[in-house]
Amino acid sequence: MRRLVLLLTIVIFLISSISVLAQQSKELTILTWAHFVRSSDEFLKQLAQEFGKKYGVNVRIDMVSLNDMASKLAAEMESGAGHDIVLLMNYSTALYKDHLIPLNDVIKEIEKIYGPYQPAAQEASKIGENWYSVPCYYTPAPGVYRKDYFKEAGVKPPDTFEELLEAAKKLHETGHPVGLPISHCGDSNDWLFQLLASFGAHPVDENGNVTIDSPETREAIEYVKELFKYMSTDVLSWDGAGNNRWILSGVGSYIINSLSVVVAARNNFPEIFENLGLILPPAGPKGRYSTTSLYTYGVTEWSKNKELAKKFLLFLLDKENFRGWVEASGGYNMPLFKDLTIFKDLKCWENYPDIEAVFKVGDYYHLPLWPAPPGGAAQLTYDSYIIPDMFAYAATGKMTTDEAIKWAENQLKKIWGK
Amino acid sequence: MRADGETPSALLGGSRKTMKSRIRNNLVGYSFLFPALAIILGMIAIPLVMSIYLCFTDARIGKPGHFVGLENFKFLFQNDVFWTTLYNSILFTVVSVALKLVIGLGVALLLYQPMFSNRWFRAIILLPWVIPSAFSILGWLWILDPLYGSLNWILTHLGFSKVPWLSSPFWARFSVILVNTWRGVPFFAIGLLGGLVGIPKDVYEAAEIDGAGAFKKFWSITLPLLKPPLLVITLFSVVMTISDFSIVYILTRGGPMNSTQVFATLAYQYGLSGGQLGLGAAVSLFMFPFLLFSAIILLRIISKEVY
Repeated sequence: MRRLVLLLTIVIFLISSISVLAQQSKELTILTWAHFVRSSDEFLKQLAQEFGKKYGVNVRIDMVSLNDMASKLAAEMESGAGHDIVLLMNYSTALYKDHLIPLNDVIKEIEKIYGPYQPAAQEASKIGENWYSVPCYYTPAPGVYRKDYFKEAGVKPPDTFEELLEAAKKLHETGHPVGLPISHCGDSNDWLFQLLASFGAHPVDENGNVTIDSPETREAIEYVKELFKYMSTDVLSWDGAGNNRWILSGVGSYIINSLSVVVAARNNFPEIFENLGLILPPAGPKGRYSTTSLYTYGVTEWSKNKELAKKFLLFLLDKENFRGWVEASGGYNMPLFKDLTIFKDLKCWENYPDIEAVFKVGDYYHLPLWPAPPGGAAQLTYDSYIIPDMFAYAATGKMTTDEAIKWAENQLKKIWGK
Repeated sequence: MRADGETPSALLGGSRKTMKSRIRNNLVGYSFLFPALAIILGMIAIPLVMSIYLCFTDARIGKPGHFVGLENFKFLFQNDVFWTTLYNSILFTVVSVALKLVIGLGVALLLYQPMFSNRWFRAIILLPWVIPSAFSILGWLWILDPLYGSLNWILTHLGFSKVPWLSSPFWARFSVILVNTWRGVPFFAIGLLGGLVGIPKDVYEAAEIDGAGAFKKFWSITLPLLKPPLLVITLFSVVMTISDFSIVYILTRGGPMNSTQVFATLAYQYGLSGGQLGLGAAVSLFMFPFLLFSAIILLRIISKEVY
């Protein structure tokens, strides 16, 4: 009898240990970037913990620096192993579509809460009939200007590129030039792609044909050549933080940038923050466009927890959770829905100047090479800095306008093959 | 018995017993070699073969790709960015290594003098080499920053005009070479100091008795006796300089207008950011012949000089 009791105890102990271990070993893993705004990551971790408790799983979030994101993601896609949920920026969804699962059911639920996504979200995440990632937020890049410097120069904040050029001349005279990068960095790509689009120039059309050699491109280059005369030559070397520094140093008067510069000014330079104004990015002769970084999350095809991963994404975009996340990011994470009414009462917007302009940026937002098909060629075009180099060659006089276009056309044709 | 463990009888065929023991002995020897061999195979040989294979495919990240023959090379040869990269890589390597060699030798000779032989002084000299490169290069980025940079601040306070350290192609190349040289000098200095310490003092004393001056001693004794370590260090430095990634990536990201683009950054741009693995592998393969060539030349010289 004793033996039997002992045996039963051992069996019960073993079974319970195994079940505890099994429960503990169920882990949902997420790869994301280490956010510039720390409280955004803190909130994400908190949400993950809540989700873990609710579903009895351990949620592990690995945060890597933005610079390491591309190589980390590439390594996982190449090896076909890694996290259940991965962050995918801009063209990454199109690039890695074959390793992601369709998330149409998740999107359907999300759109029930918030209404439809903006066109840029679809450009990034929807391929054919399927959504391969869940668009979460983007970083709107309005025109950021110094009210006092504009007043001093006697010019109004620019609504068009033409007005920007006129303002740039006067602001150059008063010692507070505008600053728009023409260098190897994302900000440079972004504003130059939007400039081209607003002049009606599209380097690549929707069928993947290279169409950069056009009168509109010539016009855009001539514009930048003129604008460059009134900017510091330092814009040729700026990294992603170059334009932020331009404003935060107290020298610069106007940049096109995400809200990171406003957040930094609010936290560290109150006298600059008081004088900052926000305005829609300038319109060109053929319309107004905006382009910047877009953040989506996808579920990998190798994941053993696909359904759980989908539940997590729904949990993340649950109305209160998502509102909380936007709030925690200080408004840096701008949702990608057409209608932002649900978010407009958040406290994080209270201190922003002209926040309505920021909300409207999304109406003009497209992926950088729009309307070119998203994918590997678009990503390579973006990462090769062909467009900034084309403008830089022409602006510095190293090439004539025609030579610079020819050069860019050759580069693009090698990538797009048409 | 010969130094390599083979008896003359074994060499001439020998008895069965000797053969067996030879194999057994060798097996033990080979088993000692195995870990190193496995590491070399796994970490160097296989990736090298893989990357050579990738050069001939249109592989993208996550997709195996198809054999495309010389298409990737055709893409590169017809691309002026590649030729600029080739020019930059050679320019940076030749100029940086030459500067590091000359300055490093000077610093080594200085450290060899009794008044500078203090170990604290040696530790300070080593600092640029010891600090993690990401930190030190970020430091340089701030020094060279056009707006806040201390270098331009000093220049303007001395009455000079600002220098576009990173925004003009000439100065951007200059800055990359400057930082590379700054970082690499300690490697030469400490390595050569080791060589200097190894030169017997009596050779100098004999030369002094014969009336040799400082320059004569340097030219006829120091330099010839320092040649083996000098060549080995130069070889290593060539390898490290041509494959350097962090300096260009942090300082200029290949700009302005690709004027500082080097093999490592271009390969990263094509292969990892752009996802075109085959193309990225083709760019990185171009480092290989340069490294192989320099290795063969230098090792030949060393073997002639030393053995």
